[in-house]
Amino acid sequence: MKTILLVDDELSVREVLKEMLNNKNYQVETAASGKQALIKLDKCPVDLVVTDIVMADENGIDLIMKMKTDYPHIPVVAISGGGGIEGRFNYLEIAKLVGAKEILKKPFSAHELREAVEAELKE
Amino acid sequence: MERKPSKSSPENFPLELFFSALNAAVDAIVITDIDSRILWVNNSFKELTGYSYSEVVGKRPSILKSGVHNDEFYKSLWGTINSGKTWQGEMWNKKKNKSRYLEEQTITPVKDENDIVTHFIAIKRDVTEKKQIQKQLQHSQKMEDIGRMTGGISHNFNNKLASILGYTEIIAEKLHELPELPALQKNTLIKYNKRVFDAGISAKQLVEQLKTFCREKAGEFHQISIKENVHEILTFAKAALPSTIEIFEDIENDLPSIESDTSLLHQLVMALITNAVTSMKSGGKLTLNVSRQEIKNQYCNSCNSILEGDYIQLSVSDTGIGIPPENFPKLFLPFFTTNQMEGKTGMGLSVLHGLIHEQHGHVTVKSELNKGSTFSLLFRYSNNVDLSSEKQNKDNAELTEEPAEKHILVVDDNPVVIELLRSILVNEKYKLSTAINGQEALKIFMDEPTDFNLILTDQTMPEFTGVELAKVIKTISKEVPIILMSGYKESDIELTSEERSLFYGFIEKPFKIKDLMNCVLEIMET
Repeated sequence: MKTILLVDDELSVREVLKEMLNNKNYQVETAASGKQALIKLDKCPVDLVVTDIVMADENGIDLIMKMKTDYPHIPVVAISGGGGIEGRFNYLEIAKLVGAKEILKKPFSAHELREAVEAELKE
Repeated sequence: MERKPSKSSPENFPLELFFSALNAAVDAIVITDIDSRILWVNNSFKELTGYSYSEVVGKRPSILKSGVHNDEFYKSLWGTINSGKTWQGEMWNKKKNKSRYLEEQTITPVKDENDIVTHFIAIKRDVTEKKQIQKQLQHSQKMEDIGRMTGGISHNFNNKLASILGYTEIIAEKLHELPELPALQKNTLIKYNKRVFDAGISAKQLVEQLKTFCREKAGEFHQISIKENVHEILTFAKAALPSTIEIFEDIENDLPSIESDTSLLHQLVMALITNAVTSMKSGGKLTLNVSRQEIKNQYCNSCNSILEGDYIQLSVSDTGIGIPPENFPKLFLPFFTTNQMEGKTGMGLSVLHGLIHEQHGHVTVKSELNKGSTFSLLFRYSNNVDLSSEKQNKDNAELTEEPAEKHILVVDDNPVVIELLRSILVNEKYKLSTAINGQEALKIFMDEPTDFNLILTDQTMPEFTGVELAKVIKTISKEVPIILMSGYKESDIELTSEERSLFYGFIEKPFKIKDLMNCVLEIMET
């Protein structure tokens, strides 16, 4: 069974995404910040990370950049409700620039999430 | 013994000297008697109002009355000056050529030795333009604030919607997996859940519209034919419009192409058509006009910028109810609508504001109550001739693209900053080289030392700092301008005056794109 690490600072989002993925028989771990995610990555083997971008304690962009050095084999799906720098550089576009394999704009459907996750786990 | 005034005392100045001084004043000066009859005006008065001295002497200042102020206003003014006090304020007046202007005015009563008011002196200044600029700045600030606020709201809103929509999906899946639930109950729950889902989807669409208003979605534009596209949109719209609306089309031939996007243009024109149709409930005429226009002294009704120059103007006119003047400042604000009862969200024109400015265009509005309104979109155009097909336009745009001439070297150990600068500068058609540390930057620079027009370097980098890099580069080439970037304030980086002289400028991170580009453009232009 593949293990997915879900990173989002909002509990309800973590819960609903976990539910969406549990239905597909993935082992789902969660973290409420980039910092927590790095601790989990250090402790247990993870096959894929799904991370939010705007989080108070170590944001998704920093997490992706650190993973690029320390866990280059783990693919990342970046998720965000929007926003960006100067209203021009979308966070998701930046996430892709720094290494996220897939990006999903919130709100997305269970189908979209599962499709993105499956595509990355297949590779 | 009484001291005689010296020749240099004002009392000894010839009267002509005072007249000359008053006539040389930039402000207009009017002297009236107690009955408010004009006795004298200076030269600036003619410049301000258009009336010469001989045209106004003996008349009352009321010849300038604009009709803007009510009787109460003048009553209060007269009350003040008749009681011997100075009145200061702003007043709309009318020039000889009938145009209205805003005056900043001080009226001072002149009293005799018995403290009786005998004359009035009015000093006037035209502040129309000053006020307009102030208004424009306030409006721009307001639109910017609303944009920032809506951007923040939409981001948070999307997070909430992710939970709402996600859970309704999970509930739907779970409900289908529950065989023990009676069919009727199950169907009712499925129906209710679907309603929550649908409401969530419409909220999602609303957030998308808000994002368009605050221009969070950057579009990619290319040269397109406005004539072909507008004709196509109108053909499509005609089929959907009620038969009570008569449609007229007047599109100038041989129009140049515009920098836009087909679907965006469709959205813009449809927003204007929908707006026009909404204002003609019992039918009317809708006229779509596209032509080249030389615009002078006009204002964009949504961003309040002053408009000057050649534009392609796309106007949609209706014969509807018109817009009350008090609604003009609110037209493009999110959620402003006069049709709330009819389920309008008030996002149509806000979306239009975002879309048209996204492509550096503007919008003007003219309206007369119960006669109709005209909304005009103004597009800047290139001098390319109109092209017959989109594909040809695209190919042509690629062929005519200017070569990237100016070369910039960006040095920063943070890849995010590098990618950001790449996005900004490549978008502005600069050739870009990047390095993640001082050594790499030096290597790139040494390969072609004369090739670079600008170096943008971070200060704090491992091994080599920005200052150290600048010192080495300046020994190779004194000419190349270097901008130092840092997360610290300029004053917090301890630089000697010699070190400071290495740099053309300093940019504090996080920087505003506008500030960065101003600095880059300044260098490139010199």
